[in-house]
Amino acid sequence: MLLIECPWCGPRDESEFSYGGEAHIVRPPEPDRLTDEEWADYLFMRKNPRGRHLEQWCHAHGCRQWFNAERDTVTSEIVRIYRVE
Amino acid sequence: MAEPRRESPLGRAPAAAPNRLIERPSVRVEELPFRAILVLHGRTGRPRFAQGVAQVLGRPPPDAPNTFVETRFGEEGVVIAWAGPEEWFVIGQEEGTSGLRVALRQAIPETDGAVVDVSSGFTLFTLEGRRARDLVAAGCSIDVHPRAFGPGRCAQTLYARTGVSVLQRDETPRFEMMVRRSYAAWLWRWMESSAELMAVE
Ligand SMILES: [Zn+2]
Repeated sequence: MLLIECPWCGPRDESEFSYGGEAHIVRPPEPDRLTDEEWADYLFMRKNPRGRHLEQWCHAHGCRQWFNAERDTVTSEIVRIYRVE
Repeated sequence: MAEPRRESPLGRAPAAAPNRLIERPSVRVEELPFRAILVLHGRTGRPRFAQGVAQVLGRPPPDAPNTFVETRFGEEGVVIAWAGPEEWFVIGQEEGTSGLRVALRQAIPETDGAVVDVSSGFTLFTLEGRRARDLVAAGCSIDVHPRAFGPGRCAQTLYARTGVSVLQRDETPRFEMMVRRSYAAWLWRWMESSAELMAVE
């Protein structure tokens, strides 16, 4: 079980959180100008690294806020928590 | 036409809680039904929001996460509990007869904040007695030891696998737990059997 540091509530049990996938994926400003490949890349393709990963978490059963975390996908160690700007 | 009749969320499940009171020498649990419960939304940085709340409740909502303040609305004891960076629960006394919602709605311009009556969606339990803290700790992962938790502290968390808000009201210790109404009987049964497993006298 991970202990995750909510930026508002402090350390809480992993069971209180929901995972939101890779962070910093920006919706293209003009989707209709994208090729099918570019659109598919935006929708479906993710980095899925072995190692450090920037991802979104939500304190779903607490304050219900979204925030970002940098987590090592091998060890699950969370090395950094930072707010969504 | 029959008179409208109020039934508490727990009272709807009499088989689960025939006497609706867990009463042992070291812990006592009772439902506090029909309380006025509001969700308040706004930014304390916006003067018209903070002042509107202060005008009705004597003080602005607390900014510190997972804390609550006790205040008054006329003669009525009221709690303002932090629920998120721009969100609070306001818990008053009697649902319906309390003018809380109307007073807050009138004091806060619609462009600066929202007030929503959620009284019928929740119920409250009070947990008190020497081992009340143990009963809280038995069902959730937050640290309720006095070095980490105390009067004026609150938390939204999972208790017995359902979402609750826990407030520590005083040092005796006395806690309040707010839960969605359809989980009242589940929570009650869980606390009852936990009290038994803990060999609470
Ligand atoms: Zn939180």
